[in-house]
Amino acid sequence: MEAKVILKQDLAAWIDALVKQYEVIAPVTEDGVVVFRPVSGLSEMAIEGMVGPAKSLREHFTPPTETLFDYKLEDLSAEVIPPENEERHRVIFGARACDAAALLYVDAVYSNVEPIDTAYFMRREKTYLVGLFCDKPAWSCFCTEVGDFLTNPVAMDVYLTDLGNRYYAEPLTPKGEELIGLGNFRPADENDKAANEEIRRKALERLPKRAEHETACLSYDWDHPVWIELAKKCLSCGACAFLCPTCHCFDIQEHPKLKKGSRYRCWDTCQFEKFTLMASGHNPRETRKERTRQRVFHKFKYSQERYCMLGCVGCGRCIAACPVNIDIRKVLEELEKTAVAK
Amino acid sequence: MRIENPYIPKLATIEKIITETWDTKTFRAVFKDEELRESFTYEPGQFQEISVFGVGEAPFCLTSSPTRKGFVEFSVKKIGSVTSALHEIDEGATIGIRAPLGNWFPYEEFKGKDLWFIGGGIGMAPLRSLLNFCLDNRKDYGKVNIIYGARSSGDLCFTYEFDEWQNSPNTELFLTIDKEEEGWNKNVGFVPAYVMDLKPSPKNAIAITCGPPIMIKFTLQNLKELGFEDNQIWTTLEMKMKCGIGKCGRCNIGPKYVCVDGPVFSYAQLKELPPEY
Amino acid sequence: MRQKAKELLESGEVKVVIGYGQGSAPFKSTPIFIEKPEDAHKLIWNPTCVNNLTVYLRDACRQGKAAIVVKPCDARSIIELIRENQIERDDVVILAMSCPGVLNLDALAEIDLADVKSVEWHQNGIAIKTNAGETIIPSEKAFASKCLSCELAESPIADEKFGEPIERHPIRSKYADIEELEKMLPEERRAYWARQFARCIRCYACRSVCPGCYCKECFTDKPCQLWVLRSTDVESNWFFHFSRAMHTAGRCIACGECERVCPMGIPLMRLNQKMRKEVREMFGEEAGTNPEAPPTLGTFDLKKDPDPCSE
Repeated sequence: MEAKVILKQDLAAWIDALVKQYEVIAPVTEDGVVVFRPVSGLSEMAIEGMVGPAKSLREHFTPPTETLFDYKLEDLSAEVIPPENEERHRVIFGARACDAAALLYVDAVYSNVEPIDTAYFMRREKTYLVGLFCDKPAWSCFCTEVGDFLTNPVAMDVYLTDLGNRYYAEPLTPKGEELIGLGNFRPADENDKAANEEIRRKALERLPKRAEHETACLSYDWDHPVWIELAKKCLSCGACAFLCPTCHCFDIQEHPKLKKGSRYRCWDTCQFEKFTLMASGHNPRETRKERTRQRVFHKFKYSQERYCMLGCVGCGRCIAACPVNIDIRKVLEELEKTAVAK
Repeated sequence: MRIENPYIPKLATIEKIITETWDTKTFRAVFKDEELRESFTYEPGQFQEISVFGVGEAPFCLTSSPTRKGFVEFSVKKIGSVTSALHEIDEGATIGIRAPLGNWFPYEEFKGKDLWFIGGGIGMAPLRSLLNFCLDNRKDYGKVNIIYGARSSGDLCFTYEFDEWQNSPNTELFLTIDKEEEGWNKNVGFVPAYVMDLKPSPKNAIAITCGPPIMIKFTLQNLKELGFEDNQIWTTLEMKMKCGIGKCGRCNIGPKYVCVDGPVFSYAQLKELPPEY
Repeated sequence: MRQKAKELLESGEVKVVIGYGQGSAPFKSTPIFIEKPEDAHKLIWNPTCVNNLTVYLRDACRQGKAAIVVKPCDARSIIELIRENQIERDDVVILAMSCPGVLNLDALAEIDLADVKSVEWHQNGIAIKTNAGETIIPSEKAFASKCLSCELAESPIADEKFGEPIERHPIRSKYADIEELEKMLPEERRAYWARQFARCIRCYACRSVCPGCYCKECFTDKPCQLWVLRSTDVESNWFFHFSRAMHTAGRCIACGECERVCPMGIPLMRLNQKMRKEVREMFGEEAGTNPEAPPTLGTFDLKKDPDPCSE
């Protein structure tokens, strides 16, 4: 598929054309925080020089709270009412490569065993991703340590790179070509291609090299002292998990309203003490030692064993958000030290 | 791709409630949908998610045997919000069921072997499904031995089936309670100790055990001492569960999900998992 | 401070020294728990020491006597913990630092963070050393907003003090942030908070870092869902945050940790400041000043405060 270029002055018209056909979800700045939400035009968007979005794309595929069904109760009977399907197709504009890559992992989780998670896949199928190359990695970014999707994007339909006065656009799927067709694009020339390569090269220079987290974490140490160190400072909040684009665990809760009600799911995390607490009082992961270990091993070990991929895309949100500066890169370093020593 | 929403339960009516002990009841439910009632089938060891609308959903093992058709049964110890709500409902009430879920006992592999069912308290519930299944296919199995213990005689469940169990051909029921009681003429002592007294031979035998964690722990130890190999010992795990279909992540132990890769595990399989159950 | 920490551990007077260690980046510190005297050198003290470490104090004191490194503002948490019978004064050795103010990470927005080498105090604010040289960020930008209104020359409670008392010239009113909110019409204020709470993801980082949030089981975690739903709708989020503000009213010492850690940038301190202002006006006192005083909202004198409903 042929790369194209759009001048920034033509961007607004392209967005307008997209908005006519799709619900367009894009980064906006709200009270100083970048969040992805539906927009009606370029003027609302914070695309130019976008700093890292606070949240990943997760909320648009598995909302923080999602009704599973409603019900009505009569004396001895009940009626279950499934939720209405969302009909409109969406374009997520300005997605990060890491956040898009994370979708492949969540796809694996939600389709690994039958029945698949229909609500999630319905949203996945109806959503097209226009990604944006990330040329200003944050201090906490380490996507290049866990994969090469920054330069070989996955789960996207179009990949944009900001070339200053224009965007370089690579269509990655037929749908991507169709989306590009709605804007005033011209074929990319040698100049554009060189500029695109140069920007990518510069970004890669700044980022760490691919690390062997796969092997290092497979020869893992169940009683490694790092777990005790983490347990001391971890406060068992869910900031790391709730910002993580691959974290997918949820709770199912009831919202009763007298003779009717609904059942919903909401985000949950293995970092919360009650995650594994059973009614009997038994808790297999009772202390922070077990819980912090679970999170790291789930991402770097169990994920490989079950889904043959890493459960981390290196977006670094957990690092930036941790109130006590738990840095998963340092945890991996510690684990790798002993793995090498063994 | 299945279009059906996997979180929506099927409606069922509580047909019968049996009070087992002071804190445990067994419920028999039939699906409202006639077609489903006829077609519904499951395997011994599988579980179900039971909904009490307005309260929530919780997992329970199918304690009935698939050989006895037209209904499902589950035993409930009053311990949390859903279990308490279930204890309060009457016959005729509507509940929701998502079933069957999880894996099951490899009863084909058990064929021709002597079976030792070792249950403690409410832990007998998942064993009962396989036990009645084996008794209904009696010729497929060798001697069936049932060791069943509880804190007191009043804590034993399924007492109304004891006669049926004992009177099955080549089947023996060994009962035990933790403490002496007036009028009790069977064994007194903890289940693991009783196992040592009875000394089951590991030769061509399978042990299937379920009960409180501490009972399982010592029963495993004792079975090992008696010469049982890891793959001759089977159990069914309990873990906090929500979705029951390998999505919500709650029952994750290492790379496994108890709700889809379990709840039935051999001791050999359990040893492969991190010790987090 | 390191020397003192070492001595305390050597003599066996304390089992642990809770302090700041070098974080995973030069502009980050991390809580550390020193148990061996030879590890005392790992303690650091610089503008990145933002955490209020007293959140760890209850657990630590349960294991034995603990020493803790505090800023004057954090020390007020210790006063509250003593006042609320959560720890005994004798169970803690307070290593009180003189603090010119701590780093507001947002102040580094224009600096290439990957390039930062060190963060140090400077007479005019904070000095950031990078490969390109040194940048001085002026106080009003460099320091956390709580520091700009800080009136504490030194720690209100201490066993050992390090550094000279700091002359304070608050350049900002303590209640500056709520002034604009107070001026809003009720419906504007409602819309403001609705927008903020719509972002909340209920990660409970605010609750987890709060030294005053030590309930064994938070009302939000009760299995009985009558109080507040787990769902992240605006009403449930609203209820959670307002309840927390009410529960910490008269106890919040304004360390600002909840707001600092909120990954969604919700200005939670505006709720707490409002409560602090109300408490000060009604009870004439501020949390974190007197370990002997009964809890503010635990005092009710019928003679002085007649029940308005009975009149």
